[in-house]
Amino acid sequence: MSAKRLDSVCLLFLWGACILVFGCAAPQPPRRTRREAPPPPPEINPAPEPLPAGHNPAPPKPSEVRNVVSRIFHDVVTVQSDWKPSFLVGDFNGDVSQDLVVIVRPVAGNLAFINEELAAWILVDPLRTAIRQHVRIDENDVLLAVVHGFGSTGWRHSLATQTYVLRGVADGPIKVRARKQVLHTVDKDKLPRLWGDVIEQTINGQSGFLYYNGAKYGWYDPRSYKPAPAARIVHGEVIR
Amino acid sequence: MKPARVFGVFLSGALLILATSVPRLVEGEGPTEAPTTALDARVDDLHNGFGLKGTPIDKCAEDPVPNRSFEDNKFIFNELETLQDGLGPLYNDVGCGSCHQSPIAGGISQSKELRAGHLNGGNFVNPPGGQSLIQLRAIAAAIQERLDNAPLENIRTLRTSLNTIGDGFVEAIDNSTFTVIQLTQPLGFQGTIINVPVVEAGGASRIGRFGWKDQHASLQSFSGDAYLNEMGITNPFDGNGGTQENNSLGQSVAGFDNVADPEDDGDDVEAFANFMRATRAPGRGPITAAVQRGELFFTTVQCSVCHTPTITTAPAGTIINGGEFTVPPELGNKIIHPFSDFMLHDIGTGDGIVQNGGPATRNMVRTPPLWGVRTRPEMMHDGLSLTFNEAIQRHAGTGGTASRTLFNALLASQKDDLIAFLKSL
Repeated sequence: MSAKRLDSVCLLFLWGACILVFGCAAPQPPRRTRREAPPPPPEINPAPEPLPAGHNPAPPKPSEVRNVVSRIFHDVVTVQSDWKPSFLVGDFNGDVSQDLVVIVRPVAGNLAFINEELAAWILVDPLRTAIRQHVRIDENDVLLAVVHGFGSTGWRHSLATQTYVLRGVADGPIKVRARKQVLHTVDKDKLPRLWGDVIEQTINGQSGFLYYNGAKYGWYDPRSYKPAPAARIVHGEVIR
Repeated sequence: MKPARVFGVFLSGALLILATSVPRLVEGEGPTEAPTTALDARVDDLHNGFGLKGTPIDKCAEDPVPNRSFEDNKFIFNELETLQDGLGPLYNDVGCGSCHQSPIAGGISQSKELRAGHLNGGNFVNPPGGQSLIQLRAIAAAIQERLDNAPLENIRTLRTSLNTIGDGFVEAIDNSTFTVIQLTQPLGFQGTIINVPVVEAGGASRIGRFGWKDQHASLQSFSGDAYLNEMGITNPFDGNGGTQENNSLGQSVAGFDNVADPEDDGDDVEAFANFMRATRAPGRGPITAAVQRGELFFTTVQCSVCHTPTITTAPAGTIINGGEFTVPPELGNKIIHPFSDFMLHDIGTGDGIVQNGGPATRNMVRTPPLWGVRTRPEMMHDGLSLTFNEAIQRHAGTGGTASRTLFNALLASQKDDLIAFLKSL
């Protein structure tokens, strides 16, 4: 290719590039403003839903209770059927769905499973809620397993799997007391916030009750209960 | 070379330079990923480009300064209030940065606030004084709020301090985006949207997105509220027009307050809001193979229905906050990964407190954004869950139960992957 022809090709190429680049460019458009969508009408702010009408499910049968325990724990624990009663029902978390409390014991050799880090239940020591300790179950522990109900069929529902395992509180016969009854008989000023029914129990000779507090199960001892927030860590200090 | 040819080459070159200097077409440009911070105090990467970055300062001009830089605003955010500034008489801490500090300015801390109240005929009632917040500090022992002075208030709950890093992007989410997210959520998982007043816009309504109860929609309202309720500094955006200190469970504290109201003219509040607006989004930790597998399980077990992984902010130029703020290019049309739908849900852990959402929201809390959750050792609204598994096991309600049950059905190795994913957020 001659030098003249090469120059012409180069010039043509440069002109072509300019046309291409100009063609794809445009002046910066002025920024357009728009208002965001209005919020939904105020009626979207929810009204309290009426609680479902109360119903009286059939009393629990031992076989049903064993099935539920097996569904949740597989063969990690067994129902202590020699305890009387070994199970009771109530609405402990106040969601208008019947819950089950059942006395169980770890099956020998399966302790590791019940203490597993990623277990499908929450281990609680209600007597030591103020201390953020890691709860571990021992082989000889007798435990209360509280299975929270789901929907209208409560603890019988296949999705009723939220379970709290309480250690150190199976010390005598358990009894369920309705929330309303407790509020009626005990001075409200001397009670913690009760989400639902309570599990009455006598521990070390002192009667009290176990109650759900939104996070765990706590122990209410009428002699020692003080209407003050639980110990907590604030700004690096433990405050009681 | 002939002069004509030289001229031709020169002209062509000049045209090429001119052409490349003309801006590209921006119409229809798609959203881009929001910049992120490494959440590492050793790295100076928090500024997202909104406003001038400036240089770190150790003293702040007393008088209002227009267009303060990011570093100025950060300084004011971290500043410790004193009696002369109007601290208290009742307060929770002495500066925004005292509670929003870890691992970098705007983050979290172990500080919690205490809320209380009681039920009367099924309706939530605030403690004497009219607000559920019980301030945990006071400038004098005589006025310290104590719940044993209010034994009727048996609803008591702690609230962890929230991360504010990336909140500018959250503020820039259009109202309509939340309604679309809500419509796509299956029944049982559907969140509750509440409208709340934007104080700086004369109480104009906007969808709430800040605070555990979604009680605020704009960062200026949120800051004005916190300045009064967490630090005791009255200001024009505190909801009372800067005229009223909090009382001590119904007892006036006027005798302890020597600073004229409003104690801040709004300048500090604007600095707090602009600091948060100028922060990048919390960035992820290392993405390993386990993390990638875990992200899939996070979706499979339907955590992602409420912990929404991706949201796009409104385009730049959108007027929000009742007309008081225009989304800047640094915050507009940005893809963020907050892992929250910012709506209220009852997952069985409810705190029992009613704020802006009305009685039905008593046991609801906002889906906590999971971005930056790896920096938070105390989880859920009360900080009482110390492991991811325990936090998951606390999920109840229809959606919470479904997700928890699906999680529990995973193989141990799959659960490990999902937890690894959470630890990467």
